[in-house]
This record gives sequence, structure tokens and C-alpha cells, in this order.
Amino acid sequence: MSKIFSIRNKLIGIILLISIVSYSLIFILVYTRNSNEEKMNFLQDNKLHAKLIAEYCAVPLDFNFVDEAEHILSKLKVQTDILNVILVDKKGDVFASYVRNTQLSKFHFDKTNETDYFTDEYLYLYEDVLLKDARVGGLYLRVSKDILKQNLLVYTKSLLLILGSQLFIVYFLAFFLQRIITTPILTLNKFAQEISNKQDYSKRLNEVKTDETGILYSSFNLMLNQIQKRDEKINTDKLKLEIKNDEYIEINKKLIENNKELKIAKEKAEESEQLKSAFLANMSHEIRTPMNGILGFLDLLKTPNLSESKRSNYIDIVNKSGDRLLTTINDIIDISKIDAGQMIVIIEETDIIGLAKDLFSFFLIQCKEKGLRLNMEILMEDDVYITNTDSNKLNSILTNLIKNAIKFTQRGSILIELSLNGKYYKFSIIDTGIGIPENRRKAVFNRFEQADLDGELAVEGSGLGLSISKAYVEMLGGEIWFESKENVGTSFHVTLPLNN
Amino acid sequence: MSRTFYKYIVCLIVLLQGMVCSAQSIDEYQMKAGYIGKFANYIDWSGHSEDYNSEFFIISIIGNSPIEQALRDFYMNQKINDKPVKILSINDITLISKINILFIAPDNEQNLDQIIRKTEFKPILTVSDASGFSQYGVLINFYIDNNTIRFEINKTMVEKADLEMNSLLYRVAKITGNE
Repeated sequence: MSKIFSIRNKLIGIILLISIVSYSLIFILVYTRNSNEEKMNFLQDNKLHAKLIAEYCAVPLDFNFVDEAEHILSKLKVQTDILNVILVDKKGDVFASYVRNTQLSKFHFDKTNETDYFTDEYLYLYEDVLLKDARVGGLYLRVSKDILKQNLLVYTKSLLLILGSQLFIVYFLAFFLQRIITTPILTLNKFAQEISNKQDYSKRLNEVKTDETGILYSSFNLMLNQIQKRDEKINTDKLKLEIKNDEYIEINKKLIENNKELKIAKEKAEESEQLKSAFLANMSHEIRTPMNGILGFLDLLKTPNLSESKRSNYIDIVNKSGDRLLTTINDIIDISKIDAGQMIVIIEETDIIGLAKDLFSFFLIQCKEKGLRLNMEILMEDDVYITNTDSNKLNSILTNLIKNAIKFTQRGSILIELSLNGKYYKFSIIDTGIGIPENRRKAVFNRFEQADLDGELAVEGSGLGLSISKAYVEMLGGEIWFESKENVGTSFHVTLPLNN
Repeated sequence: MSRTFYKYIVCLIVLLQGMVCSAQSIDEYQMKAGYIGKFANYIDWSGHSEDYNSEFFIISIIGNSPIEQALRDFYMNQKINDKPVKILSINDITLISKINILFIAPDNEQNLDQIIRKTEFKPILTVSDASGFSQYGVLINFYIDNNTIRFEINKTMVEKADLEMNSLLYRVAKITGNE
């Protein structure tokens, strides 16, 4: 919005233009009227002078007193604008004359022209010299228009000054009074801009005026009302949509979760199905084999005349098979207890060094029988180290690990290591056995898994041992892990917290 | 021939000179006679008793003066105030009545007071052409100034007289009063 063509300036401009036009008309009218009036006044004034002179001159003319007439005329010196006077007698002959300034151009009067008239420079007057209503002569005057011109100039100047100051006043009035019209419009403008900038349709104009601006204001407010209502409706609709959208998102989430749960459930179901199959296959083997052994050798024992050595050998096999069966059944009971959450942890004071020494002694004979070396390293300064833990479970864990080591090691040695590591103590069972193949490592702690279930090297065992050990370690707040290299050996490590 | 011619020339010059001289004196009284007629233009006798409102404009001359002849000549065929003019010569003061203008000749110096007393409150314009008469009470008195005929007006007496004099006349006159 250009400042020059603002509504305010337009208004002032219009007022000024109207004023100028009307003042110009007034000037022309007044000037024409007054200049004519001035001219008439000038004529009348000089006419009066002429009449007076004529009256004064009448008697001298009547009595033919030339010097008296000239004496009267000479008194016109005080009338500076009367330049020439010529007094003629009845016949038109010059009787007396007067010249204000001898340097003036000569005054040629026209005997036949007995009227008054203006030229550019002078006023020419004629006056009858009357005595008792009888013409005794004539008077010709030439009057300078300087005074008239000067008066007109002064008059014009003052008129222009008055009109100019009026115009000035009009400008000032217009400047101050235009606010009556422009302020409401500018307010509306500003208000509209504000609304447009802030996008806030809740504002309203104060409706105070009762003229067209008032109507404009109320129309504007009405429009704002409509916009606001529409906006509110849009917002409400939007909100509703958003709520619905949220609901849909929520439902979607739930669906996804449900789906996941279903998937997990499905996986679990599949897994448990697989486990069940594996369990059944394994258990049938693990239970049937010793059972067959027991029943078969019990039948052989029925044979009469059996040598003492053979009978002793058969009883030994039955015994071993019974042990194996018992171990399997114990394992199954243990894992069932763990799964059912019925396994109880009993914390008591335990000497872990003593426990390690007992295990060493227990497995030393077995190792010697298999031709393996069993070593033990206690990396602690004390002879006895008491800590709170479930000694049965710890024993079970380590027994299982050592048994496994002996089972999977054909030659070489087995090392039992005990060390302290900060707040933990650590048992390591390190063997020089077949190792765990890469593809089996992940499933080591799973149930019914063995390092090489299908291979020739498969050994007896339920496959539940490591699974139970892992469950026990976790119950006691510890960790179990292993490192293995095929045909080199395997190291199992168990860390448990001191003072459980 | 030439002598006769010279005599003729000399005679002619002398004659012309005499004519000029007599013409001058005649001219003076004729002018005065004219002025007396003009005075009537500035005097208002109307509004006074009917006695003076006669069908003639009467000018009386008391005493001897060449003006009488001049007046008779001048107003033989001329009217004053649209009235035919009657010139009367009087010698007795008591006869002064019902006249418009009274010319007092210079030889009335002895009985001037008497004449003035007789006319002062009447509608009679007194005129004279003798030095000092104005101061005695004559309304208008002619005098010669710088070879021109002028007149003086005794304003006091004009105001006393039962007539109206136009003030314009004062402008060309010398104003005097009673001594």
C-alpha cells in the first residue's frame, strides 16, 4: 500500500481540490465584482471631484474670472491622481487649465466626447459646469489609474492571502478531521491484517459507529462468526477423525501384538511338539536300553550252571543298567520340577574348596579306569573358603560337567579349576575331548541334545544334564558358558556370586 | 499727397485712441451692468411679500452714474429671472420700495447712512462702485484690482437683509463687514 495514495491522503486531496476549485471560483467572482466596484468607486470619487471643481468653477466662469478659476484648479495639487483639468466656456474654448506635471504627455481633449471612459492608463472625465441648471461651460479631466491599480493589487494580494490561509485552514481541518472517516477504515484494515497474520478468527471488532462503517464492522464481525463456526466444525471433524485414527492405530497395534503372540504360541507349540517327539524318541531309547539290559541279563542269570565270573559279570551289567535307568528317571523328575517351578533352592554354608577336593577324589578312580589324567588347580590362598550357596545343586552342576568331560574325552586329561573373580567364584572344567561341532554349539544347553547325536561317537545319556545345570546356575544367580574346539577340547565355566 | 496721407494717418491714430479710451470706459460700465444681471442669479427674492413679486425685475439707480445708460442698453431686450427689466432713476430716498436691485452712485456719500437704514432689512440688493461703500453697509461693491473689475460683499449686511444670497458668490468676492 503506497503511502502517497493512502485513503487519508486521497481524502485530504479531494477536500483540497474541492476547496481550491471553489476558492478559485470565489476569487474570480469576488475579484470581478470587487474590481468593478473598485473601478466604479474610483470613477464616482473622481466624478465627485469633477462635480465639485465644476461647481467651484461655475461662478468664476460666469463672471469671467480666469485667475480665480486657475486659482481654484491649482488647489487640485492635493489630489495626486488628477493629472490634467481643462475648463472650457459655453462655446468650448479653453477658459482655464491645470497640469499636475509638465512632463506628462499632452492632454488632448475631445470637445465632441462629453462622456467618461477608461483607457489602460487613464480615466477621462467630462463634467458640465452648471449654474442654476444652465450649462455655462465644461470640465475635462484626465486621471491617473495608479491608485486604482495599486488598490486592486493590494486587494488581490489580500484576497489571495485570505484564500490561501483559508486553504491552509482547510488543509489542517481536513488533516485532523479525516480521522473520523479513515480511523475506522484503518482500524478495520489493521484488524483484518492481524487476523490474516495470526489466523485467529475469535477476535471481534468493537461496534460503536452507527454509520456505514458500523454496518461494515458488523458485516465483518458476521463474516468472522461464520468463518469461526466453519473452522470450529472443521476442527471438530478433524478431531473426530484423529480420535478414530488413534483408535485404528491402537487396534492395529493390538492386532500386531496378537499376531506376534499367536506366532510365538505357534512356535512354542511347534517347538513343544518337536521336543515331545525328541523326548519320546530319546526317552524310549534311554529307558528301553537299560531296561532291555536288565531284563536280558536277568534271563541269562536264570541259566543253570553259570560260571561264577559270568554270573558276577551279568549282575554287574544289570546293576549298571539299573543305575543308568535311575539317572534318567531322576533327570526327568528334576527337569519336570524345574519346569513346574517346584525346585527349591536351599542356601547353606558351603566350603567350595572342600567341594572341589571331594569331586576330584570322587572322579579320580573313574578317570584312571578310562586312562585319563584328572588334575585340579585351586587358585586361592586359603585352604577353606566358606560361602552361602545351595551345595547340592552346585555339586550336581559340577558332577554333570565332569561326567560329560569324562564321557566325551577318550584320551588326554581333565582339569578342575577354581578361582575368585571379584564378587564371583569360578569353576572351570577343561577337557581334551572331541569338542563340540560348530553347528551344535547353539543347542548345547537344549534338552535331549548331544554333541553328535547321530554320529558314531554318540554316547549314552539322556541329554538333559546341561539343561538342568544351566537351570540350576540361573537359580543360584550365576552364569554358565563354554569354549570349544573340535578334536582339541572343551572348557565349561561356571561363575556364581559369593555370599548368595 | 504724402502730407495729406500722414495727416490722415495721424487723425486715424488719434481717433482710434479716443475710440479705445471711450470703449474702455463703456466696456467697464457694460461689464458692471452685466454683472448686476448675473448677481440676480445668486439672489433669491422668492418667499417674501408679494409686493416684490411684480411682473418686472426692477433695478433702481440713485444718484448719477454712467451705469444707468449701460443698464438701459444691456437690458433693453434681455430678461433677468425670466422677467423684463425696468430701469428706474430715483433721487428721493423715500421712494425706495418694491425694487430688486438698488444701485447707489458714488455721489450719494452724504446720505449713504440714510439709504442703508432704509434698505438694510428689506429684500433689496444694494450695489455700488465706490471705494469704502461696502464697509458702510452696501451689500455688493465693485472695485478695480489689477485692471479687472472685482466686487466685495458685506456678509454682515447680507445676513441682515431679507434675501438669500448663494454662497457660491462669496467665493469670487472679497468679503467685508461693517466698520
